[in-house]
Parts: sequence; C-alpha cells; structure tokens
Amino acid sequence: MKLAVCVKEVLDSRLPLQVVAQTGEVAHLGSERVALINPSDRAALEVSLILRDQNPGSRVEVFSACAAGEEDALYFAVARGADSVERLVQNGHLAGPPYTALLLANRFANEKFDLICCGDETLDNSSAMVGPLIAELLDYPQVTGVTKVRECSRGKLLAERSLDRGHRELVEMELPGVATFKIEAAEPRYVSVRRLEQARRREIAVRQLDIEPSKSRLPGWPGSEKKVPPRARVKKKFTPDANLPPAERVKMIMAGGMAPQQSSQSSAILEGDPDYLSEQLFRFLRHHEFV
Amino acid sequence: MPNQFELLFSPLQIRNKTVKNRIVSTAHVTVFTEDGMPAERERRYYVEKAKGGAGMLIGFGSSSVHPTSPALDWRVVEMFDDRVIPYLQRFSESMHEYGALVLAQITHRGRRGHSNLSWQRLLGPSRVKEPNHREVPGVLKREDIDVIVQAFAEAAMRVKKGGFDGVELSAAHCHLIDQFWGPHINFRNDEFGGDLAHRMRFGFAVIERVREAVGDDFIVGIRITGDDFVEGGLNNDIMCEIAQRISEHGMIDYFNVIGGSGETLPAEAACVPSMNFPLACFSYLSGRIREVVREPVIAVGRINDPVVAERVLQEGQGDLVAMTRALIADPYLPLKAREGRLDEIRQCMGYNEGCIDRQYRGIPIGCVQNPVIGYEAEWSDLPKAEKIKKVVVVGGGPAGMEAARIARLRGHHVVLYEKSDCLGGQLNIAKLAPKRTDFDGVARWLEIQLRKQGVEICLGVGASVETVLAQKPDVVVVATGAVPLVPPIPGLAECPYAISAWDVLLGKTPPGKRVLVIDDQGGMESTGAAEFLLDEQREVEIITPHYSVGEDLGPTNKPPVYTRLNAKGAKMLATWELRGVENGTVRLRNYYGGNETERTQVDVLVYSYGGRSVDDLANALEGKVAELYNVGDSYAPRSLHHAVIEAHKYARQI
Amino acid sequence: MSATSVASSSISETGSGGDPPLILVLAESFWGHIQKVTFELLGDARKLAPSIKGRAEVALLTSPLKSEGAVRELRLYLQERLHLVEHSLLENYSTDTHLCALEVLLNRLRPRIVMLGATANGRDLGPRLAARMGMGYAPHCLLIRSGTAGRLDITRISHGGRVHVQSAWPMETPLIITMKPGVADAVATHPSPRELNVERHTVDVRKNRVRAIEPIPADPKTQDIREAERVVSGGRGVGGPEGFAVIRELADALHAAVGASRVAVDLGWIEYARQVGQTGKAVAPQLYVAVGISGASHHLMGMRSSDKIVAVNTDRQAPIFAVSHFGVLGDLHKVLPQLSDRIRQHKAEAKDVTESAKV
Repeated sequence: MKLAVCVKEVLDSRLPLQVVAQTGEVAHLGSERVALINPSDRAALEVSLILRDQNPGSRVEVFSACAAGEEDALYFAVARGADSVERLVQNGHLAGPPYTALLLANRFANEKFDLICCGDETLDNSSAMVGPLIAELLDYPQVTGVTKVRECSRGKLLAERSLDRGHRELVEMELPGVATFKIEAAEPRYVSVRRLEQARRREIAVRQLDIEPSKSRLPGWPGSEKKVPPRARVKKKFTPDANLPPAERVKMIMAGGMAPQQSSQSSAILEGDPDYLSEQLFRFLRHHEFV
Repeated sequence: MPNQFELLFSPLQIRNKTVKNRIVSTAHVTVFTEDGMPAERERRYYVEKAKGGAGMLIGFGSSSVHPTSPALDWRVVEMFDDRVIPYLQRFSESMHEYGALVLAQITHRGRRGHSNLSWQRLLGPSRVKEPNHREVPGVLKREDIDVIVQAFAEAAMRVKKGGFDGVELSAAHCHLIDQFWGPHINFRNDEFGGDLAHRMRFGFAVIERVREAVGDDFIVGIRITGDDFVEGGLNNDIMCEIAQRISEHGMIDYFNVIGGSGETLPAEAACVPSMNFPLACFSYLSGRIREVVREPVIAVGRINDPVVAERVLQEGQGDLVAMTRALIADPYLPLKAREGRLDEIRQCMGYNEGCIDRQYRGIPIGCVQNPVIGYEAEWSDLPKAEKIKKVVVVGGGPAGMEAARIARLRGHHVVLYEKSDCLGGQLNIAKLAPKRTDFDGVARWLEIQLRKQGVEICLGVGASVETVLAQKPDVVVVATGAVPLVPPIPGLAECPYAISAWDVLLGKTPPGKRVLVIDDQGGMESTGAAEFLLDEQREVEIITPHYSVGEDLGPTNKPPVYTRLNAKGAKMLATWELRGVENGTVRLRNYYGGNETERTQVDVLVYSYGGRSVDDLANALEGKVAELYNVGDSYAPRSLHHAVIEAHKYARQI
Repeated sequence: MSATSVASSSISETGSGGDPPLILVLAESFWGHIQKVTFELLGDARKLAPSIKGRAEVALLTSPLKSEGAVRELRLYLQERLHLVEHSLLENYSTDTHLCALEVLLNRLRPRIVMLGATANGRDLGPRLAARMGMGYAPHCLLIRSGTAGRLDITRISHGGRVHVQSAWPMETPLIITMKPGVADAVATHPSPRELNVERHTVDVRKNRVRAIEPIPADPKTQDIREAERVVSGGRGVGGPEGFAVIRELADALHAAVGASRVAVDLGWIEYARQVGQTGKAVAPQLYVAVGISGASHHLMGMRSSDKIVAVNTDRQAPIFAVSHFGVLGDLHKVLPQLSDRIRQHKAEAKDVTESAKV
C-alpha cells in the first residue's frame, strides 16, 4: 500500500494564546512560541504507520505545505519512521486552506496513493476543509472524522467515523480515497529524545509546485481575514417584560426565570417496602417507554 | 482540563491595557478606611485578591469626588483630597506586582444618604427624596453642577496620579449620574432635565470632562444598572437605550452592569443578590446591554463559581465576569480554577450577612466562611506549629470543623468526634429552610478539606470525658453547639403542640392548620420555619416583640424573605411578645404598652428564641486537659460568623 | 462526477434572475429525526433575510421511507417553503449521494447563501459542495450578518474557540456557511401545526463509494453527560465510591450515563466530568434519575429542564422532590438493585419473545 499523510505544525494550545494587537497574529501570552505537530495529524500519521507495518511492502510518505522554519511536524514524522518527508511550496504565495489543499492534491495527482490521511482539523485554523478538498480535487471518496480503523486491505477501508453527541457509524470506503482522523484514532508511539534530535538534523526535501489556482475547482476564500480575541455571541435569556411591575420582575428572577414549580407537576412521594417501590419505579419507566 | 475555562482565562484588551483573564472584583465599600484614606487594612485585603490571580480589581466603592457626596456612613475613600495620592500609589504598586489591572470607582451619591454626619447639604437633581434614606435634598444649581463635574475630573486625575490603570464612574445604585437619568427623580426645566437626551447631559458632561482630564491612555469605565426594579424608573428598555447612546458617544471603555438600584429596599437587595436568588441571575441584563454596545461588558450578580463564570462568558452575557463575593470567600479562586483544583475553592454561598449586610450597616466587611477577610495582616499566613500536638475536637459543626482544619494545617494530629452520622451541625438544619440550600456548601467545603488533609473523623460518636481522655490529648477543642432555647414562659415547656423552629425544619411539626410563630431570635430561624410551614399549606402568623419580623435580617436578605412571606400569605404582627399558652389559647403582651391580647384555636405554636449552649463536656473537662478551648455556640449561641472566626482564632493559638 | 437527471414536480421554473436572494437552510436529520441545529440555522436565516432583502427556505434530503416523520417534525417550526428531496439512497448521510443531490438542487434554486450546521456531516459536505458549485466557503461560523457596502460580515471560530476570525464577503459571491451548533437561538415551535409549503424534487443518485454499514450508538460510559439522553446520578446518600456500583448497575440497565452531585465529586467518589449542576455540567436529558441527591439549588438549576425526573431519597424534605415527576422515599441500596434486576429481567423476556418469533 502507498500511504500519504498530510501534516502541519501548530502552536501548542495548552499554553494561553492571545491575538497580538499590533500584528493581528496569534501568539502565546507571555512565552516564546512553542510548536507541535497538529494532534489529529499525529493520529493520521500513526494510523498510517500501523497500516504500513501490517501490510509488508507499504510506504508512508509525509507532506506538509508550509513555510521554511515550520518543519516541526515533518521532523516528528521522520523520528517516528516515515519513509519519506517533503515540504511543498507554491511559487507565488497563496494563503488559506483551499490553496493548501490544492498544493497537496496536485502533488498527489500523478502518483497513485491508495489512502491519503489527514487530521480531521487543525488546532489553529480549525476549518476541517483540507481533507475533503483534496478528495474533491482528485475526485476521490472520503471518510471524515475516523476514530478507529477496523480493516484496510483489498482496496477497501472499513472504519468507524465519529458523528455528533458521541454517536459513531461504521462505514466502508472504496480505495483510493481520503480519510481524516480524530485524535483518538491512535496513540502516537514513543520516540526517544535522541531519535528526535537525530531527525532534526535531517535535511527536509522541498518541492516547488507551480499551479494556476484559477483553473482549479476551489471554493471561494476571503482575500483577507482579521483575527480578533473571542467575543461570544449573546444567547437569548429569559427577560421579564419591562412593563410588568418591578416586584413581579424581581419575583420572576428569584424563581430562576421560570414559573414556580406547580404543585401538580411534582407528584406524590411513594413510600413502602423495596419490592413495592422498585415495581412502581419500573412501571413508571415502562409507561414512559424508557424500558 | 485544558479547555474547561477557554474564555475565563483568555486575555482581553481594554483601551491601552490587557487584562490577563476575565475575572473582576468590582468596587465595593469595605469600611476599612482610616480617616477616609485607603490604608494598610484595605491594601492587604486587595493584595490577597491580586495574589490569587484575579485579572482586574476595581477598588473603593462609591469613593467621593466631592465633600457634598453623603458617604461618611460607609467611611468611603475621600477622593476629593490630594492626601489620597500617596495611598493610591502604594496600593496600585502592590496590585501591579501580581499583574492585575487596578481601577478605582468614583462617584457622587447626590441625594442618596443623610446630611447628618457631614452637615453638608444634601443635593439632587430635583427636590425628590430617596425612598430608602427619606431625606429631602436641595436642588443642584447650574454652578453646583459645574463644581461637581470638575470634581469628577479632578478625582479621576488623582486616581491616575496614583498609578491606577483606570477609573470607573458609578452611575448605578441611584447615585447622582443615574439620578439625573431617572424620569421619576429628575423634574428639572433647564438643559439637564426633560427628555432622555437632556437627562443624560449631566452624565455626558462628567464623562467628557473626565476623559479630557485623564487623556487617551487611561481606562474610563461606567457602572450602570440593567434594570433598576423601581416603579417608573430605569427599566431594561430605557437602560439599553442609555447604554447605546453612551457607546455611540465613544468615550467609555467598558460597561459594568448590575441589577437593581439603591433607591428602594427591594431594589437594593437585588443589587447584591443573596442566596435567595439563583446563580448568575442578572447576566441576562448584561447580555441585553452587550447586544447594543461595542465595548466590553462585565456581567454581575451571584457568579460564584468558575464554571458558572465560563458559561456566562460562553453564552455571551458578558466579556468579563464580576466575582466579587466569590473572591471574598476565596481570593485564590482564579489560581485554583486555573490549576483544576475546583474542589479546593471555598464557594460563596450568597449569605451576605458577613459582607454586604455589614457594609450597609457601616461596619467593616468580613466573610462568614473566610475568617481572614479584614485580618489579612494578622492571618493571611498560617505558620506551622513549633510543637506538634495531639488535638481532639468534639463537635462537627462549623466551629469544630474550622478548628480542626486550622489545627491540622498547622501540623497537629487531629481527631474529630461528631455524635450524628454527618458533619455540618446546625448547617444541616439551616439548609432545610426554603431558599437556604446553599448553606450546604459551607459544610461540604470544610468536610472535604478535613478529609484531604487527613483529620481523623469519627462519626456517630458522642464523645464523653472518658472518650476524650482516652485519646491522651494535649489539646481539646469543644464545639458541641447548642439546642433550641425554651424560655420559662408559663405553659410553653408542657405544651404538646409547641415546637422549636429547628424541629419545624426537621419536619417534626404536629398536624394542624393554624400556626403561630413567635420570633424572638430575629434572624432566619423564625422566618425560615414560617416559610417552611406556609409551603405545607398551613396558615401562619408571625409575632415578634421587635419592631419587625426578622428584625436582624440584613438589608439584602430581608426584602426577598418579605417578598416570599407576602406571596405565601403570612400574617405578621410586630411589638408583641409571648406571655403564656394553655389549651389552644396563646396569650400575648404588647412589648411597649404592656396590654394583653390572645390567639385562640392555635394548632401549632412555633417558638424561636435562639439556642442554649451544650457545654456539659466543656465544663466536665475543665482542669483535666492541658489546653482546653470552648468555641462557637457551646460557648455562647451566636452566629455562624462568630463560630468560624472564634474557632479560627483559637485554633491558631494551639 | 456522475451525471444526474432531474425531474421536478414543481410548477414554475424559478430560482435565478431578479428574485430576492435565497437563503437555503439545509435541514440535518439523524436516524430520521430533525436535529436541533436545523432550527438554530433557521433562527439565523430569519434574522438575516430581511437585512439582505432576501427570503429563507429549507431543504431536506431524505428517503421516501423517512420523509413523512421528518416533515411532521419540521411542520412544528417552519413557516418557510420546504424543498424535499427524496431518494432511497439519501436515507443515511453519504458524501457522494448528498453532493450529487445537492448539486442538482442548488443548480435549480441558485441560492445566495446555503447554511449548514458545523456538525460531523455538515463539515464533511460543506467544503466539497462549495468547491463543486464554485461558491465561497465559510467554515465553523459564529455569526453572519449584513455589513457595510452590501457585504456579509462573517465571524468564524479558530484555535479551538480562543480566536475569532472576521471576514467580509461581497454579496454577489454565493456562499456556503457552516454554523457552530448550540450558539444561535433556535426558532420556537408554532402553537399549532400548520400546512407546509412543500416543493418536491426528484433526483437520480447512483454513485456511492462510501457505504454506511451500521450506526454505533454512543456509549453512555464515555459520552459527555450533556449529550446523554438518560442520566442516573448519585449524591451524598450513595455513601461512598463503592456505593456508585448500584448507580452504575441501574445506568447500565437503562443504557444511561452516570452523573453525580457536587458533593460526591468533591469527596472524590467519582470524577469531575460526571458532575451535574451549575458548577458542573448543565444537562437536560429525557430521563434524569436523582439518587441520594437532596437537591441543592445549583444542582437543581443544572438538571431541572430534564423531561422526566425521578428522585430516590430517604429524606422526605429533600428539595429534589419538589422538581421530580416521580418520587420514591426509600433506601437506594435496596430499591435500586431490585429495579435493575427487574429491568434486566424484562429485557431478557422481550428478547426471548422476539427470538421465538423469528423461529
């Protein structure tokens, strides 16, 4: 199998972040820049390495569309045993996730990768669009938010995919295809500090690509964006009618914005021996179809 | 839990300053000043908050910009005098040392107060007295207005010279600026009265002159109400309009939004919502204001926990959260929250009797849970004991637990005996009254600290002299509490349908519809029992020898209690005392006139005379142990505040 | 992409030209049920529409089998026209089938703005749909409103919520936007159900390279309690960490998540993630069983919106009974194990019946 992994270096978000007013960029508050491989990219890499180890003759090739000096994610991949790493650069800088996807998709276009693995979203931009856009540009199928790979062989990927509220679904995808992974898809393997140091001394291959974006099928993306400190949206809360008498308004607030509990709603309290009580409880639950 | 407090611990820029997190201690009067100056006691009190990690500290509630502001009753800071500048400098240096932004509130209280302390004439926009203080003010003349506007600017400059990051103008609690706004207060015919635009002129004059004086590199915030809860006053719709106009005017850097007003007693109680109100009860008001202004908004009112605070921020009800009382109960709340030590946070329960209700009476604030408040110089450090001792504490109420906690923290070996099967003592009764469940938090916190620190806790053991001595203790702390006092009134002790207020809360009331509650204790005991029985659909009349039922309830507790008693149909009779009881007839005597009357066909007689000390053990141990302390109600039945302070004080001496 | 043929049952061929701009809300359904995010999107669409002199409409992709139930749910909320796209392959979400159907629908309707929830499926679909349609894409947004010079001001969330990113989009750029769920105020239900203005669209969907094999329901043991449909909580009355065994047993039997009151958490009986209340997590499940919890106000405020509340306590005075729909005064250590047994026994019987029916 031939596996491609897309990775990115991001700011360590365990440290407090701020938007620097002067530059409009995000930086750590009161400390030096601390970078790491994007955690879900790390899971994508780990899954690929596991698949390689399970399928003899496979290769894991790791790519990052990033500027010089942001190769931390690639070093990480080297240390973990990626077969090759490569930094992609576009002639004439175009920023934004669609162009990242374009760069990567172009790199993959003429090489037959069975599975392209990405993190499901980055800690920084959080747009979750690079994986799907690669799939769209290559006309590949996609599975996003994979939490577990059950099987990957004979041209098929069988995986669990995360839905909302903790639900998941089991899906089967024809290969070649794109999969994006959640952090929980795999725990990264341990690597010694020495090996990491060695990896850092490795020269990273750079590939220049020359692409005309206007010829590609990309979504529109704003030319300029402004980063600002978070300002939460106002959620509508219970507000007493300003025309009600003040005493009524205060009473409503004291009651927690709800009418005081009506006595009909709170039912009688049952007493008796445990047999009786558990049977009554069972009937209540049964009546309301909880069992 | 790295992302649990995503917004709470993210920095925010306000004008030229960055506040490191969203936690604010808002301006409040401490009554710690010395001759009108914020001296050491005030400074030490705030140092703890700065050390504890709060982002923004607004000091000096209602500090006066001019001697005509009637504020001597609360001993506020006198910001009209240059004498204040060195105090401010020392203060601001201390706060900056810990990375907190520090601001000061300035105001003129206008007609709000009495002139009988300063003998300076009371002044207001019109000759309309405040319902709370009921003194008729004189009308501000045009030249008086100029003087006061200038005084605001000069006071703000003193704050700036004092090294502060900003100043907050108070236009809340019905001070002079919002007195001008009020259509029910301001009846002027000149340019400062009439429609809203004219009524806002005085406030704008102050804002403009202050901004002009302090320049662009200084925060100027404003405190407003979101709804004053006063008939014909500044309701939420009007306040949104006012806030929007101030925002469009463009000189104010943040809005600090309370609920209520100082104008009437019920509105005043809402300003600092007690445990009678839900948590974060007024964040809807700051949320509404936030929809119409661009500047950051501070949400205020019973935000007593970092989780609640984060939710208020996430739901966009504010950009910052006022956690003033939460930081009194535990100045180290920010640090503990940040480090995920939530169970170590001593949570404000909104009792208010230790803080704001003392301040309103003009006595220095404290905290019923945190004895260190106001005594930071003496008590903020807790040194280890030089000699490790064996300490036996008898009684697991608040006094016993606080004594055990302090003794253990100082390194002693501590065994605590409690005769019932759970810790908490009278708190376990108090919390049963309606709207009093938050008392539970006091015992919960103390118990968790004892368990974490390794105090040996023996539940269900009524310790006798022998049990205590068998432990071979170096020190014994007796905190055996109290039982309800039954006064020697004819027929009371024998009366089968007479019951103490405590037993009412424990659900032991005999059947019967007609209930008479005798309120001698004057606190929450009798009103709580009365409300409890009203909730059981009984008919209740409360009778007291004092001027009013619940005479000693604090100014922020009495109005909500009265609101509910009224809604539930309680009858009240003041100035009458219990004289005797027999066969369903209760005899009463007027406390002043001495004339008698009676109530017949009484089914239940509830008496509330406070407690009687349980001091047998303390007496029996006298002379038998090297060090013996009797603390809390077993010494003399008093308040929770007494119990905690006393236990803390003596446990430090062990 | 595979070709698709369109046969529409609608009468007129509208959609482009001088019509007011269309804001199309894509309804999200999950196992046949309309998700709350749909009504949040609709709330935002209704607010936005007048400010851009546009109109809001709703689209639902579903199978003929599931459409009736979903439409019935939508009818409680909608006053807007509903575009109903039915196909047996649209029963469950799949990127290929939904892209294919929406490509057809959007080409017909030419919306100015398409609003999706930033849910698992919304974020799967959004970027590809935008690329395919040549529309703008604004991911994981918090706010959309009309700004100056006919632009749309959009705020999206980045850095896990700790940074917001603002951008202005020219009005002439058609846009796909995914909105963060749980932020906007959902529209309220009508007092009485009304007839819907439904426009049916038929599409031919063939290609599907990703097959949904089976749903895997959330595991209440690991699910965030805010998202659980049922919660069984224990408090001080449980007596200790070992007491939670009976709570877990009942939770297992009911397929419910385990919750706890603050005191149980602070005493270290159970982890903080399980704490229900204003100082923990606010929950509103269909069933909330409070066991040995007296009901301090901050606990009540965090769970009283639950549909059905059951309380088991030995203290008749416990405030929890004031909010419960079914109260039991009894020893939890005796009542709960019996109840768990009873539920398991019932399940076993029900299983026997279905299995014998199969034979």
